[in-house]
Amino acid sequence: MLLEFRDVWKSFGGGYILKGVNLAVDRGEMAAVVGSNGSGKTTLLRLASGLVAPSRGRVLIDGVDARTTAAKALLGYLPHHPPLYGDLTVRENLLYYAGLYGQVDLDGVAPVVEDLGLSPMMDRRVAELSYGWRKRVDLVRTLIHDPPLLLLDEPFSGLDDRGRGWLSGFLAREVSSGKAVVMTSPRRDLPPDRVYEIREGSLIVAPS
Amino acid sequence: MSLQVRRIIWKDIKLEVRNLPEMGGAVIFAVASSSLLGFSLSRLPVRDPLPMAGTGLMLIALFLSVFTSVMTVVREEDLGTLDGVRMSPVDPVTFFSAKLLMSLSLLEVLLLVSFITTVALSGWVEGAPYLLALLSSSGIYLASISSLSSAISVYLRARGVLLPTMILVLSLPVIQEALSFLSSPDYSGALILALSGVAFSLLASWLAGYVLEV
Repeated sequence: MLLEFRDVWKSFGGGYILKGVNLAVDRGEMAAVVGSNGSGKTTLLRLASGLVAPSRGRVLIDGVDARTTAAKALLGYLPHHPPLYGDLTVRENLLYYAGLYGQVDLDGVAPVVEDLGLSPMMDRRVAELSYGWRKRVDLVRTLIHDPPLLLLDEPFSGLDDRGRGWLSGFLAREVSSGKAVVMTSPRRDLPPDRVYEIREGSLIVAPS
Repeated sequence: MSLQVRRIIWKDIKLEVRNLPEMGGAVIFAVASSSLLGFSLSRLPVRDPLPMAGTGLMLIALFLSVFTSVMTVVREEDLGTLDGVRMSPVDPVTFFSAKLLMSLSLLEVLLLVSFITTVALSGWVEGAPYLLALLSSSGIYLASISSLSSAISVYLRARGVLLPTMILVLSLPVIQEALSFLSSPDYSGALILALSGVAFSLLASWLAGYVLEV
């Protein structure tokens, strides 16, 4: 199993935001997590990406703890707020993150850069870009090391019709090529294999 | 040096160059404060300027290490980019080491600017090379304290007050040690400071591994 939540509970000091979550996503599967604002969707992805530790239970990526560097090398996480440097250009941001993943250049993501229409933007500072363009840059950052597991927090927000169309097709291709995708969404943008809903901290299979 | 460390330092240098108010402010502080010290040394009837110059420059170094702390780990948190590092397969110790190297480079440059300004304005030469050695070796320790405090302050709400306080408290041993070496100028003092600085930087890197780990 590529991503596994085993009886995961998470509290930020008050009550539990997630209560005994169990989830398993394997290669070639796409799962969507829906829920109201503050229901814990982002927390679920931050746990999966190793950015926060569970209060109880375990989160495993390919059998190892999600907080280890070995696990982090296997995932690409697209957060709601892009972790990009406004004073650096798009190219400098991407080269920096490529270096963190052991990549010396951007050749691997050149087709994605082209498809997303980012080529003319590569030498512009990120601070000059709109949220939608920054989201596209961050999408490239997420894919920079060709990870087998994609964790996407509301990936369609901020994208125009072209970006949405490209992302829908891209995700479908990635899943059919054996990658696993877990995304959150306030609604169903794609027909994934499974749709879960977080209700009062518990993860349930959403009724179709 | 690993690709990860090189890219972190390369990125930080670019950010420093493009963030002129921050780096420029630190340089202006270094020049202004050491000008005052140099002016005092040239006008006051001091028989041996070394203790006064040393004390003044060590205090300037303390302030400069507060500035460099703001430019390292905690800045990533302020920019919202720390998560970008945390979600990548970069070991916290590697990340901290890169930040420490950057902090050390910045601090040493600022200390050199302060030293040159002081010497140029005071006209004092005798004992100056020894003081430069003492300052440079203290810089290793101070840069480690600065970076470690910066990493710890990521989790602090009142970091505006607590970060300088933490640096002051942690710097007391090295400043006291450096000042004690001023009374008996011989280069073994600088060597002891440099070695203790290296030892503390290793300890700080190890501690930062826990601090920055989720």
